[in-house]
Amino acid sequence: MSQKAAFAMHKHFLGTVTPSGNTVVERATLALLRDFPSVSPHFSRSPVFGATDPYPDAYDWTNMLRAAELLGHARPGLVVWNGSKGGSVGIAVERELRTRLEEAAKCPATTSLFAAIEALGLLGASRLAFVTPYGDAYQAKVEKNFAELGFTTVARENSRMADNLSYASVPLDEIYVQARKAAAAKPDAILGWCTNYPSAWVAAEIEAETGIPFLDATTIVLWQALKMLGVDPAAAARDWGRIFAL
Amino acid sequence: MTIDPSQHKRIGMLTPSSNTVLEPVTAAMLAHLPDVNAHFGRFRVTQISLDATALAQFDVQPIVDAALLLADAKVDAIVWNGTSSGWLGFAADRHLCAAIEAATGAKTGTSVLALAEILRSTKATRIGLVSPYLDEIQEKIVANFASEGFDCIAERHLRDRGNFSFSQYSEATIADLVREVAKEKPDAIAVFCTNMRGGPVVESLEAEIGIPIYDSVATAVWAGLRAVGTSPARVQGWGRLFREVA
Repeated sequence: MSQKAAFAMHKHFLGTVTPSGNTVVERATLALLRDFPSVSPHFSRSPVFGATDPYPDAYDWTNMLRAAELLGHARPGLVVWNGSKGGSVGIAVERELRTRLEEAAKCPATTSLFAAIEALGLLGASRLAFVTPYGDAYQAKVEKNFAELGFTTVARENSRMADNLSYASVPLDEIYVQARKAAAAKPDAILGWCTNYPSAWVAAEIEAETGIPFLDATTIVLWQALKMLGVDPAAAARDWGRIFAL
Repeated sequence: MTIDPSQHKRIGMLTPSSNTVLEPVTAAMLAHLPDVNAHFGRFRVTQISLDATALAQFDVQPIVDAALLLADAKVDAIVWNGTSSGWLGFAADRHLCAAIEAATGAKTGTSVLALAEILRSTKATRIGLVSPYLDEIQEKIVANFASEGFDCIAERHLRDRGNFSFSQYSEATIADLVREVAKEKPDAIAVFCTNMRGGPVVESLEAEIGIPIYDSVATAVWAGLRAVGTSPARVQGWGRLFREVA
């Protein structure tokens, strides 16, 4: 189908709250949704950038909710927070975020963390390996929060980067090597856990090589979003990972 | 996936919050340019009229705030993908670009300034104008074009206050309006509104009427490509603008 014919078919409107310094979320979303011409992608930014987060244990509520409210003006069927921060702030804060996003955008909402939890449940995965750009302290915080959700981390390959924008510039070959190392621990699933880390582009390849499911924080929320919008996500399985066919 | 993402060109599109057309159309126009990435930043726009509150939506500060969030992603260019200077006067866009450049250091462009440049470089002085706007807005646009040296010899407008509703007019409706102004044989026709589905009708309609049609999202994408040093001719199937105007 031509891109123009696809545009004429739009009937689902998906709003994405995007971390402002992120260059991966829009690229991955637009690339993945080319296989889903009925879904129209929309974006709004909330400040997240640089090496220090002024809100380490919560969200920047004013700006997050303003971004959601602006998406609400486009009358979306669903709003997502395509950010992995839920892994470090924990499930209670993430639940609050979901509720407040829904109020601000006047539609259902979800986040990368809720999508990952659903996908891991569907896979029956409890032993995880992480592939991330994070420093050790932040990585430990993420693992602690996943432990509270019942998941055990059996391996981690965190590349100890500090600046959020630099995450996006890690070559895919390096992420691929990280994922292979993480696979050696034979986890039930590997998580590429950072929405500004382009691990989505190695997911299908790693799965083919190792046989282990690879979930990426950026695309997993698209998987859940498609299902919530009533769209079968299976067409994305070939390029973006087997979870899309489950 | 063969192009190193750090070499990608990034175009940030300033997006009216209730617009549902410009993101999917921009993405579709750039779908075959994997090295050019579109990013989006929203600010509040819900109504188009000459009321004080409607005019205040286009104050410089909230737009610069949205531009700063795009600058967090280190975009190479920031483009105002909207037509407000049509009724505010072209000087408003020139002032806005200067403010964005001062605040972000990015290159800038706008849909309307690009249209003016395109009309000048193609020596089009007698133009046809199609928009969804109220009488009061359309009158301002015609006067502002006249003061820039463009004679609007035929126009159609839908007397709508918008902004969300502008996206609801069908491509067939827009095509009929274009055909009506084409009867007066203008040098070029502007479909003037970035929340109208004009882009997808351009290619076939130009072949039918033999007059170039400049859609507002298309002129914004053209401006972005020029600002990042990428040839607009790489965009195919979206009209003569990309093929013929360098």
